[in-house]
Amino acid sequence: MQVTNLSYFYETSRKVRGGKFVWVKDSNGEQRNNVLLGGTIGNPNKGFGHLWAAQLLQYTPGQDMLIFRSFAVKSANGTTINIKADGYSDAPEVGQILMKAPTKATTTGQSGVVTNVVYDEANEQFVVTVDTALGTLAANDILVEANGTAASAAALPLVPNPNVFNEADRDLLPTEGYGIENANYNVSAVYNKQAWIARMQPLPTYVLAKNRSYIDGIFWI
Amino acid sequence: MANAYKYQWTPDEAIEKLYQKGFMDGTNVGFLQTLIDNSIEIDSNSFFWQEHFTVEGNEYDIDLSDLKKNPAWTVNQKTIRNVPMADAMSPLSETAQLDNEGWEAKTGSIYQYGKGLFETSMSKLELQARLQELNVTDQNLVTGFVRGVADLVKSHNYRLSHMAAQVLSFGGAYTNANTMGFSGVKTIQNAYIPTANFKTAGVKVWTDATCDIPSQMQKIEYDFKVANNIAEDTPFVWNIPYDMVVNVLLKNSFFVAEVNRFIRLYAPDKVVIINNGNSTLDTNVITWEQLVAYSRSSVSKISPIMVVKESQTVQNITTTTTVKGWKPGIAVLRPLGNAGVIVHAKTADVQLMQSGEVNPAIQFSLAKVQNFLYVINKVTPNGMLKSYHTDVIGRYAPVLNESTYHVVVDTTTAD
Repeated sequence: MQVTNLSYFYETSRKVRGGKFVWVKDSNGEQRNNVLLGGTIGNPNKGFGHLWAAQLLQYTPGQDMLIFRSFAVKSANGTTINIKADGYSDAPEVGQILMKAPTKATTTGQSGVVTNVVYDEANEQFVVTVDTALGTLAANDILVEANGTAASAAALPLVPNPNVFNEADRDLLPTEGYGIENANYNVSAVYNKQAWIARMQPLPTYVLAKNRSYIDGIFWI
Repeated sequence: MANAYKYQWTPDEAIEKLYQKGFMDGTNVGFLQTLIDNSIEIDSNSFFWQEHFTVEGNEYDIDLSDLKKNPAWTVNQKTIRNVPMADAMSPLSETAQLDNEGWEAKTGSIYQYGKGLFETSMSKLELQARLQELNVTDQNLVTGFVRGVADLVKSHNYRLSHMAAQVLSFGGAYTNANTMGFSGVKTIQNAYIPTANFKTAGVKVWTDATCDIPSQMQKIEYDFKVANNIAEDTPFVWNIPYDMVVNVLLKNSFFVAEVNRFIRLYAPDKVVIINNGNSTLDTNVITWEQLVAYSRSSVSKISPIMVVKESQTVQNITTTTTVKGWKPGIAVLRPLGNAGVIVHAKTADVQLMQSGEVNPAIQFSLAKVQNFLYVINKVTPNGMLKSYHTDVIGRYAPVLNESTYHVVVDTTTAD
């Protein structure tokens, strides 16, 4: 008999959809291009995660697909960084390596490893602790994931070339812990689509530079 | 309840309905909250305009092959001539002639408004997969709220209510200057009631505690009727915004005294508080229902009060704000009954779709709701897959048809 089922009590809550529009609609018909074969996510979330519609990924033929995670800073003090939990920024996780998004993808910067994440619901923020301060951070600065496995003064963005969109909301299950082994997320993605920038994840300068649209507010890649 | 409340459910009752539907069990609380935050605005009265306007029967025509035919409305106001007494005259002499009668014509354009829903094949499949988690009853409720055309129609009623409140309180004028959201389209109409119909508060501003509001309102009515040769018993109505009723009128000692007079005569059983048997006041606290009842009684100094309650939401690219169409501090005196009509026109979009020029790759269907809004369902190519567009568009404008007798009172400026 499953004794645990009788003695295990817990509660959960979640929000499903009810979200904001992001795609630029056009009755003339939208463009949509597939990538070749897709790929396995190379930087999966460890716990429960989510990919938003119009979230960017980096697709390189024959290689892992990388999720482009970006985080908008609410405030920061040394190694404590408050990241906006507004549904636009991604959710930080312990073990991620973050850096302030450089102006160019080839510019190095200081990275730090996330050692603790606390969700502060009242203030709509994630209180993130990193092992090394990321330099001067102001409100609305954008953090991205950095390469490497430890804090470095010469880190580069982990995802220097986000080039495809995730097409629809998708929940991600944990890939670590609970005895899970060999968790692989194989995803496809689309490109040649347009989304509203204000409703996408925070986009740093080096990503905005890829924008093909001449219309302010629209991101086309 | 007075005119301000047209909904069959209060917010509490509506949530109770959701409970009964089994929607609000523990796991779905989050989604329901989202719906209430963003979608269900039960108390905001999207159909406010229907209290004051009716939809005109005829649709204004447009013609894609004749660009000169831009739909416009016209209001003609008669210029009433002075009719003096006949002159004394000697036989075989000439009579003096009367002045000519004329009219002032005011025209305006009919602007277009729209709102849409959009899903792609992938997002539709994603939604369907999520709905599978819910039981059948919940699925109906969610799809009804999230995907229904009803919300699109509602958005037009909000726009129309906003314009209607502006038209009533600005003397025919409306603008979307503060409610453009992320639209770059300006829709502007100037006022067209006679300049003389813009009145000031009277001796004192109404917010002054020593202002005898009932007498000042009475004087405004009396002066206007005398000046325009309107019989004293011609029924008029005061349109007064809810916040002015609650914050100004109900706190005004002269209205309190008037309502007490009414209660003593007609409704002694409605007295809530007895202060002092010798006082002229039975109660210091009056409600807006008592105030409205007083204004409709035969002891009233003023024409009946109709409470105005409206508010709308403006959506910008990342933010939403709440606005009211009614100009702050304005009370309106006008003939009882409807204030005007909703003029409406065909839309070029619909005409184009009916013209046979639509690419066969695009499937569409058209429908009309409320006799002036067009629902356009389109399935369009999205690469290899499909996109689903549901648009509701319309060209419409509220127009006063009693503009000659429409009086706008600025209660914040004394004479």
